[in-house]
Amino acid sequence: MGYRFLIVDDSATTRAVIKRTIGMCGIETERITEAGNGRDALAVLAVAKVDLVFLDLNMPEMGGMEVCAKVQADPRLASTPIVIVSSESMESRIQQMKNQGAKGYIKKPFTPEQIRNVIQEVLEVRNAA
Amino acid sequence: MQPDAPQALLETLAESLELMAFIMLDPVTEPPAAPEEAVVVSMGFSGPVSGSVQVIAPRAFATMLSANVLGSDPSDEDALVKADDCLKELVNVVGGALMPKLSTSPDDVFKLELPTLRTMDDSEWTSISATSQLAMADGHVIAARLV
Repeated sequence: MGYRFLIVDDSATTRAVIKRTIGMCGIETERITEAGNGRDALAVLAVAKVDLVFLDLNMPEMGGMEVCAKVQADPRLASTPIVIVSSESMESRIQQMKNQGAKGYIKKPFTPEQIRNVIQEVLEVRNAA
Repeated sequence: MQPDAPQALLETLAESLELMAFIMLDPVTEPPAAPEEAVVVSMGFSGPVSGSVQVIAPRAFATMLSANVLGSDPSDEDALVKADDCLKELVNVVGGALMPKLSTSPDDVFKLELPTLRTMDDSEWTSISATSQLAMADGHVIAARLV
């Protein structure tokens, strides 16, 4: 059984880059699902088990902040690790997201190493728990 | 807006292009002609300082950017399909990276809007070029400004 990822970003280009990077990480992957906004992401999370969510903040329909809050408030989803991938780089915003339960914060533009490192960190922590 | 904001915008654009797509900006040596089939991408922001980040570039540049980001060729269909999306993402990245440079306190909070894209009318170029930071990227003229 491999890992299941959800990539949430309104940019199809960014989704494609993250997806390709996951594919190059050398970890066993069962499924990579994509969503273009927060509402679609919650719909995916409602029906499918996900091991790690990459979540953008600034999106149409529903932004990443609201997704984070809804996931944290739902006992069935609260343990799902979320890593924010956003262009926003104000320290106040990053702290706000960590307070909301985000396990990591990657600033755009990112390097493949940053994606790979956060996958290893988050999934290793999860496996050790 | 701080007087050095336009220079900060140009530097942020250069850094973002290099990190996203290995594209280097070069200075403009003479007033460039209006780019062909150019688009204007805007992203509004509000907070301690409010305004809009704009990047104006030809569609051919957007396709090259998309191809570089995706690791494909500009003639690939995927690069063509994602060209507009990629240019909007560039402006999103530039806007996000610029906000700390415009802020006066680490506690400042900015609200970023979603980037929008429209076709530039050739008659706009005189005004755009006079109020923008201009640079060349692999033979394409790029303009960036804060409005």
